[in-house]
Amino acid sequence: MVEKLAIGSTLTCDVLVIGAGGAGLRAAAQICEEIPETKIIALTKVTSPQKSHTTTAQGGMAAVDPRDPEDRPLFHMFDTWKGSDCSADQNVIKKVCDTGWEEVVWLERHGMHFSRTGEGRIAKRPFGGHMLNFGEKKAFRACYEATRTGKGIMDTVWDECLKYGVNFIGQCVATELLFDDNRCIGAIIFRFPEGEFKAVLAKATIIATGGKTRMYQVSTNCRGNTGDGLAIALNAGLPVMDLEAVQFHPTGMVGPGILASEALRGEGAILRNKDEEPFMERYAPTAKDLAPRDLISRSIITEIREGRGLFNEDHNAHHVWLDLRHLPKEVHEKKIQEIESFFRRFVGVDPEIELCPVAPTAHYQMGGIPTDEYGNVQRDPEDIVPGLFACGEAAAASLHGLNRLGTNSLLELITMGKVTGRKVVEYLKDAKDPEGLPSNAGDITFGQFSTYLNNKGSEQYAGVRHVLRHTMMDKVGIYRSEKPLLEAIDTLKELRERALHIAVSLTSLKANQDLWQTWELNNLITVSMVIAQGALARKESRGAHFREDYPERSNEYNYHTLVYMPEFDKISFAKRAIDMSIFKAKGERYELFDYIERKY
Amino acid sequence: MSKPYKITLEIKRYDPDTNLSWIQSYTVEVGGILRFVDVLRKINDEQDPTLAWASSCEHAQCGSCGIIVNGKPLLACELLVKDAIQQFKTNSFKLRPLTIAPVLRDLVVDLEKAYERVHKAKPYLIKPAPIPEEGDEYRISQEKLDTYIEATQCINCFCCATACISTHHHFIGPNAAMANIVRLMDPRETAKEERTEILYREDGVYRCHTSRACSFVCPKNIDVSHFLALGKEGRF
Amino acid sequence: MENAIKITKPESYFVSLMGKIPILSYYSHSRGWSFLITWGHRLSGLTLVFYMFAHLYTLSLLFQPEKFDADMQFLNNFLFTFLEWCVAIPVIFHALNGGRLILYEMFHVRAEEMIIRLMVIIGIIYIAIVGFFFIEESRQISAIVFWSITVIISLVAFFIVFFKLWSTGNSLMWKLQRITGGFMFLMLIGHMLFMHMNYLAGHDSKTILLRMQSPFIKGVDLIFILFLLFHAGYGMFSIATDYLRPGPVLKSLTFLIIVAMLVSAFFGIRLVAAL
Ligand SMILES: Cc1cc2nc3c(=O)[nH]c(=O)nc-3n(C[C@H](O)[C@H](O)[C@H](O)COP(=O)(O)OP(=O)(O)OC[C@H]3O[C@@H](n4cnc5c(N)ncnc54)[C@H](O)[C@@H]3O)c2cc1C
Ligand code: HEM
Ligand code: HEM
Ligand code: SF4
Ligand code: F3S
Ligand code: FES
Repeated sequence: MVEKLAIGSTLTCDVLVIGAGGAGLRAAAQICEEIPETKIIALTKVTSPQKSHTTTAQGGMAAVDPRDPEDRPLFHMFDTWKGSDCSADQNVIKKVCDTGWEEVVWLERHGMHFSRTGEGRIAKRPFGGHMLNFGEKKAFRACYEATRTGKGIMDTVWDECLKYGVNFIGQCVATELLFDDNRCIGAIIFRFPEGEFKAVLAKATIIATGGKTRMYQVSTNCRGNTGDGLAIALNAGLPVMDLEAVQFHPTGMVGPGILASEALRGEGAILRNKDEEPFMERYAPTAKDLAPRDLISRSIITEIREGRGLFNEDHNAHHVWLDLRHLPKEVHEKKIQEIESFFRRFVGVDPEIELCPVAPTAHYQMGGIPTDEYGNVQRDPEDIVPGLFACGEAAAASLHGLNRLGTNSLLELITMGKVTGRKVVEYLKDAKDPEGLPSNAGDITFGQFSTYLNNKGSEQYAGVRHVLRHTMMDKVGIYRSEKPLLEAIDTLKELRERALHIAVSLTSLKANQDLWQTWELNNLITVSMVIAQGALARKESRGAHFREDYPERSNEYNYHTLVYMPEFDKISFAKRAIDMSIFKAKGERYELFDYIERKY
Repeated sequence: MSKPYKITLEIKRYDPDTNLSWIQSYTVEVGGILRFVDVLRKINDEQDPTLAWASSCEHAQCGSCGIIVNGKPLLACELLVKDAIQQFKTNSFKLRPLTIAPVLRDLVVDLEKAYERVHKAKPYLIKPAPIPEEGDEYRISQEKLDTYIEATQCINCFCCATACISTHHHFIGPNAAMANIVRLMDPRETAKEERTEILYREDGVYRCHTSRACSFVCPKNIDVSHFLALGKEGRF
Repeated sequence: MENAIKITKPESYFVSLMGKIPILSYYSHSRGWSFLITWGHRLSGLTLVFYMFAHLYTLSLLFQPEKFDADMQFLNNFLFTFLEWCVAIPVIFHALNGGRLILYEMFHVRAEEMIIRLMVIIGIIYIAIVGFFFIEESRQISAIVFWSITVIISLVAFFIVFFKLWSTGNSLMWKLQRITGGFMFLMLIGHMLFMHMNYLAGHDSKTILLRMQSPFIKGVDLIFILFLLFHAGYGMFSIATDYLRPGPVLKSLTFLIIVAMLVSAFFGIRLVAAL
C-alpha cells in the first residue's frame, strides 16, 4: 500500500496556462504586453516550452499580406470555408483571416527569423487548398521559416514570455481542473521529477494542451500528445466538440510516422502497391497522386485492406511504396533533399535507388474543447464557463470545422492565442482572487493515481496501449462504418477496465515513467471513446470524417457535435449550430459561403 | 526485410529513492531501422518497465532525448540501430545520461536546470529596432540572414554542452553563448551593449577553448564553434 | 558529424593508424579530432610548464659554472639527448596549434583542414631539423643577428594580435594570453633551434655566459621569461577554472599559481640581471 496521496503545496497566480505551446504562450505574451505585472504560470509536460509540439511544424503559416496586389482575405476565408467542407464557423474564419498578417508582423517584430525575399521582405510559398480568386489559381500565402516555421513561432512566443518573466513549470501535467461553483479557479498539477502534487489557484485558466492523436498506431504527433486537456475537461463535466474529425496525412514514413511532405508528390513521386502498380490512377484518374489528402489516404487503406499493401516487420506495420527513383538528379539534390534525408535517417532507405515505405498517419485533430470566438470555454452553446479559456489545437472555435487546410493551424494558434489573451485581460479586471482550495480538490487525481499505484493486477501498460492503437487505427481510422465502430467501442470499454488494473512497476512517485504513461493511457482511452462515439453518431461523410456506409455529406448534419462524458462511457450529445455570419451579412460573393460543394 | 540484430545496451541506471546507481545490461533482438527510442520502448514493453528515458517529438526536432552512447552525446530518436553498429563498430552500446544536468532517474536528466543557462543568455530581442511603418516588417536581406540563420536551428538538446571540454562550472555553454551571439548578429536587436556584456562576462564566450566538440556532435549540424569565434572576434 | 574534420584518402590511412590507440579512437568518434587536439594543446602546455621549471632550475646553476658544466656533462648521453630532442614535440605542437587557435578565433580563418595539414608538415620538418642539429652540430651563427630578426618578426606578430584583440570586450587576462602567445610563437621555435645550432650554444656555460653579457640578449631573455610566465600562469589558471567550482579550492590554487610564477620570475630576472 502506497502512502496516502496529498497536495504538497499550493501556488497562486493571476493566470494559469495549461500547455505552454504556441497557442498558450501567445495568449500569455498578449496578457504580459497589456499588463506586464500579471503573475502567470505556464505548464508543460516537456522540459521547456521550446520543446512543445509546435516546434515540429514545418510548412508555413497562412496570412494574406495587405501589400499583395492579388490576394485578399476574402479569398482566404473562402478557401477555409470550402476546405472545412462547410462546417467551420464563419465568425471565427473572418476574424482569423482578417488579422493574420498582423500576427505575422507581430512575430517578426518579436524576433522570428522568417525566410526573406530579394527585397528583404517576408517570403511566401503556395500550399494545398490556398487559392486566389475563389479557387482560380495557387496563392502565395504561407509565410515560412525554411522548413522550421513551427520552431520559429515557438521560439518567438517562448522568448517573449521569458522576457516578461512568465513562470514556467516544466515536466508536469495538469490532472484536474478546480472549480468554485461554476467558475474555474485553477488546477491540480503533478510534477514528474519530485512526484509532487500541487494545487495552482488562478483567477483565470487557459487550456492549450495541443494535439491528441497518440491513440493511433501511426501518428505524426509527439509522445506527450495524449489528449490530457480534453480528458480533464471531460472529467469536469465539460463538453468536447467534433472529435470525430481526425486528419490523416497520406504519407507518413512507416514506423515512426514522420511526415513526408506533399511536396514529394508535387515533384512527381508516385504511390505504388505491392505489385509496384501506380494505384492512384485507378482511384483518381485525372489528379492521380495529387488528389486531396483524404482521398489518397483512403485509397492507400483500400489497397492495404485488399491485400495489395506490404508489411514491415521491424515496425510491425502495413504500408505502400512511395517511388522517387525516377526523379531527375537535380530534383533529388536541390528540391526535396531535406525531406529525403528524413527517409535516409529514420527509415534507412535511399530514395534515389530504393522504394520508400509510407502509410497514412494520424496528423491533426480538428475538434477540441468548444469555445466562442473569444476563447471562452462553453459549457453548452449558450453558456460559458467563467474563468476558463481554451485555444490552439486543444480547442475548437472552430476555424477548421471537420477538415483543416495546411498552414491554417499555425495561424489559428497565434490569432486565437492573442484573442484569448485579450479576453483574459478583460476578465481579470474584475475577477476576484479564488477563495481557497475547494473541498473536493484532488479527489479525481488521487482516485486515479492511487488506483495505479496500489494495483496488484496482472495488466501491463504496453499490452493495453498496443490494442488501443491498433483498434483505433483499424476501426476508427480513415474509413469508418457502423459495425467496426461498435466493435471499437466495445474494445475501448474492455481496455478501460484493463487499464484500471495495470500494475505500475514502480511505486515511487519520483520520476516514475510507468505511472505517468499509465495516466496518459487513460486519457487516450477516454478521448478515443469520444472519437468513436462521435464518429458513430455522425452518419454522413464530411471533411476528414468518412463513413463507408454513408459516403455523402448530408445537410441534416450541418452542426458541430458536442459530447459530454463526465464518467467513462456515460455519453450525452448536444449540437452547436454552424456560424454563417459571412453568408448572412450578404456581402461580396456571399453565395459562396453557403453550403457549397467541395470539389477541387 | 532488414535482418534482425542482436544488440546489448549497458545502461547506467539511477534510482532517486535509494540514491543508488548501477549498470544494467539488456540484450534485445531488433530490426536495423529501429531508432534507439524504439529500442528503449521495446525494453520497457518486454523486459523492464521501470527503465526511464526521455523523448518527445521523436524525429530530431525538439531536443528532449539526448543521451550519451559510447561516449558521444546524441539524440536517441535519430540514431538507427544499424547506423549505430556501423558508426561505433560494435553491437554493444554504453548508454549514459547527459552530464549537463542532474539525473532524475536512469537516462532522464533535469534539462529544466540546464535551460537556466539559455535563459541567462536572453534569447529574445531585448530592444527591437523601429519598423519602417506600422504594419510593415523590418527588412532583412537574405545575405544578412544567411550569416546567422544556421545558428537559429538550435533545439537546445545540450549535446554540445555535454561534449564540450569546458562546460563544467564556469562556462555558460556553447548553445547558450550562441543564443546570445545570434541576437547580436540580428539586425533588429538594438540592445547591443547589454548583449556584449553578457557575451564577455565571467561565464562568457572566452571560456571556450575552441575544442569544437560542439560542432562535431551537433545533431543539427550547426558549426557552433564558428559562431562562438565570431563572438570572441567581436564580429557580429 | 558534418562538421568533423574532413580527411583525404591518403591521410585517412594515418588517421586510422592513430585510431588503433583505443583512447584516441574513442574520443575521435565521440568528440572529434579537434577535441583531441585541444587535449594535446593542454597536455603540451602543461609539459612545457614543467619543463620550464626544470629549465629555470638548471639555468640557475649558471651561477656556479663548474656545476652547470658538470651537470650538462652528466646529461650529455643518448637518453637525455633523446629526451631533449623530444621537447621539440610539445614545443612545435603547442606553438603551431596556439597559432591556429589565434587564427581561428580572432582572424576568422576557418580553413581547418588546410591549417592542420600545414601544422603536421611544419611540425615534422621542425622536429627533423632539430634532430639533425643534434647530430650535425657545427653551425655558427651570430646571436645578435639571429635574435634581432626573431624579435622583430615576433614584435610584428605581437602587434597584429594586439590590435586585433585589444578593442574587443574579452577578459583582459585572456587577451594578454593570446598576445603573449603571438609574441612567443617565433621566439620559442627560434629558441629551441638556436640552442642547438651547436652543442656549445645551449650547454656550455662559457658560451652562454659570454652571450648573456650583451644587454640586447638580456633584454630578449627578459621579455621572453616575463611573457612566458604570464602565459603559463594564466594557462594553468584557465585549466583549473574549467574543473573547479568557484570557491576556496580554486582560490587557493590560483594563489599558488601566482606565487609559483612570481618566484620563478624572481629567479629568472635575477639570472638575467646578475650574470
Ligand atoms: C509534423 C507536424 C507538422 C505540422 N505542420 C504544420 C504546418 O506546416 N502548418 C500548420 O499550420 N500546422 C502544422 N501542424 C499543426 C500544428 O503544428 C499544431 O496544430 C500546433 O502546433 C498545436 O499547437 P498548440 O499550441 O495548440 O499545442 P502544442 O504546441 O502541442 O503545445 C501543447 C503544450 O501543452 C502541454 N501539455 C499537454 N498536456 C498537458 C497537461 N496535461 N498538463 C500540462 N501541460 C500539458 C504540452 O507539453 C505542450 O507544451 C503540424 C503538425 C505536425 C504534427
Ligand atoms: C609558442 C608560442 C605559444 C603560443 C602561440 C601559445 C598559444 C596558446 C594559446 C592560444 C592558448 C589558449 C588555448 C586555449 O585557451 O584553449 C595557450 C594555452 C596555454 N599555453 Fe600556450 N602558447 C605558446 C607557448 C606556451 C608555452 C611555452 C607554454 C608553457 C610554458 C604554454 C603553456 C600554456 C598553457 C599551460 C596553456 C593552457 C592550456 C589550456 O587552457 O588547456 N604556452 N597557449
Ligand atoms: C631543450 C632545449 C633548450 C635549451 C638547450 C635551452 C637553453 C637555454 C639557455 C642556454 C638559456 C640561457 C639564456 C640564453 O642563452 O639566452 C635559456 C633561456 C631560457 N629558456 Fe631555454 N632552452 C631550451 C628549451 C626551452 C623551452 C622549451 C622553453 C620554454 C618552456 C625555454 C625557456 C627559456 C626561458 C624562458 C629562458 C630565459 C630564462 C631567463 O631569462 O631567466 N627554453 N634556454
Ligand atoms: S547547438 Fe546543436 S548540439 Fe548544441 S544544443 Fe543546439 S542543437 Fe543541440
Ligand atoms: S565544444 Fe566547447 S570548447 Fe568551445 S568550440 Fe565548442 S564550446
Ligand atoms: S525526441 Fe525530440 S529530438 Fe529526439
